[in-house]
Amino acid sequence: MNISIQDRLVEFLHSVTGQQNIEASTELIDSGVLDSLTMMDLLVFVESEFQLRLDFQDITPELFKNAGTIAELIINRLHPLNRAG
Amino acid sequence: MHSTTDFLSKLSFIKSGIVSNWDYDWDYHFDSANSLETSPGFNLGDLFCEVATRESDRSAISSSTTTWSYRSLLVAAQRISNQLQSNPEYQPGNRVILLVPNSIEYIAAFYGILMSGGVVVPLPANTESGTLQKILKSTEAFYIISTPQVLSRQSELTGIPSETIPAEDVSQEISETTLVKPTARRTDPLAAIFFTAGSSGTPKGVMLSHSNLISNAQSIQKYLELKADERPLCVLPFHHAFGNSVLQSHILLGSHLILDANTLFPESIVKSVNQHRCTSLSAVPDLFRTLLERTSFKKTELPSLRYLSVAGGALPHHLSMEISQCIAPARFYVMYGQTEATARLAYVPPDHLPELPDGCIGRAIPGVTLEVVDDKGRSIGPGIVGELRAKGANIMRGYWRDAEETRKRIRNGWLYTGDLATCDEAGWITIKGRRNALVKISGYRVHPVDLEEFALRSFPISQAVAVPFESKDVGTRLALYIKPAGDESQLSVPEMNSICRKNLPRQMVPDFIQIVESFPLNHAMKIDRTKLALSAE
Repeated sequence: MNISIQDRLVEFLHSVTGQQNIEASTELIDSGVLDSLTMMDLLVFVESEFQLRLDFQDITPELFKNAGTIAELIINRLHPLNRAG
Repeated sequence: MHSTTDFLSKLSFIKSGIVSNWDYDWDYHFDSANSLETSPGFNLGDLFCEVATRESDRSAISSSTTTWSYRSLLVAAQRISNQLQSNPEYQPGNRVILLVPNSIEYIAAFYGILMSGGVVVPLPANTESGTLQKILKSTEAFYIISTPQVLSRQSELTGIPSETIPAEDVSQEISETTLVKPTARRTDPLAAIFFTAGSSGTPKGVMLSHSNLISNAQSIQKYLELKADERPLCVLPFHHAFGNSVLQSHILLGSHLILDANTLFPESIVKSVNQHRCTSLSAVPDLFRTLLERTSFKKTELPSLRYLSVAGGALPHHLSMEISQCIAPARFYVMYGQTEATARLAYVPPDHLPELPDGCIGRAIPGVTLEVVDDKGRSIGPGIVGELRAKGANIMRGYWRDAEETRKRIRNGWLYTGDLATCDEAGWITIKGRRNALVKISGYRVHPVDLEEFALRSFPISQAVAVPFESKDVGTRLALYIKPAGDESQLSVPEMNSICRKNLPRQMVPDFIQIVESFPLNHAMKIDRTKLALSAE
């Protein structure tokens, strides 16, 4: 479940940026992959694809570091009781 | 006191190898019969030195980690200026591209270039390589100032040798006589060229003189009632006219600029306002929508705020009112302008906001005259739609190396804004639409025709039509309709999307691409763009 959410995010990032070399661990912020317009696209994607509403506390540099951390965020928001570990 | 050497070593100076053949006088495209009035005024580099010397002990800029005094900023700017002038071929009037993100380095380099007598050409750090080459060639820029991190993403520039400022003992004493190199100053020389973004078509360079920048900064200081102890939170890119106006209007007052905000993470903006006791925030409509919808802005007290301001697009009146009520007694300014006017042309005095209609931009800023005229340039009566034109010391000197485009925009000493407007009996101006098809996408200026031309160049198609449409989640975006050459499209929609994403700035990438066999026509037998826009929504 975790992995497929991550895959879908990576695939989305490929298509929205046109860059095929983005991986789950690729740093998104300082690298410039995410700009404010692309960030908006990403939020709309996450919310419509996974049927959830992200809160202002969810939109932070730590949680949006890479596709892996975003996938974690989505999992936690979908099933708040099923935390990993 | 930290070392300016550490900071300065982050900057790379790349010599383009171009020695400009342009005679300095060629830079101005209007003949003397039409020439705009200019007051001789100061040189912005001089003014900066004066302010920085007077305020030398006060804080100038804070990033998330460091605070700089005006003294440190001045020393840094001086050393950048010296570095540029150390090259014997460097002449006053030379263009210098500034390819640095918002930062202390950017600000020091901006004024350093001016102090060397140069013309600043600020560009976004992520400028597409093709566009950068075009602008480099067109401006014949002598130097590019950038950083290793930015350069690592500009494939065309990596490998070209660059200089850095040599480490040396930094003397904190700056003698008055070495402050600004005397340059052959004509009346009101060029200070900067601001290019419109986009890799399609030719980006246009708006030429701004020292007078332009100083007069607009002073007018802004007046109507915003800025004080010397302002602490603006700077989120707008300095390489755009709006962000630049925040920079100039505050630095020239000796204010303290706060650069600790990331628009990617809007909640951090709310936190920063309180953490740094910011007195203001200026932003485009999209950011204000985001603050209202995705942050704790509505329920957080912001006691240090004196004002917020919006420009670069229209914010619906009910949202302006919501923000206004949220921050009272702090003021909310709705503003209007364009790069061709340095930045600002009009504003709504906050007390009048409640009574004015949607789309109202208020009245002219001090020193500017605004008029609504018919297509023969004659004044028209209240309530009648005409084109908005402007006069003032802030009107650009013209488009760089484009006399023809300049003549279309500046006629008889007036800047024709390209916006349709009405003026009511009380003198309040309301925007009614555009004369041409220019669209604002998230604050960025976009010409749909540029996207059409890109599509025609990049895909095997016979026709392309780009229209703006309202996407309910994110506001105005572009839709692209393609008619293939031949019976079938040789490229799929995802393939075309990928090519767009790779080669265009994000604001020009269409959010919706559709392949069609034919285009709907309206009753005038022209392509029905309205119908196309509606089908994308």
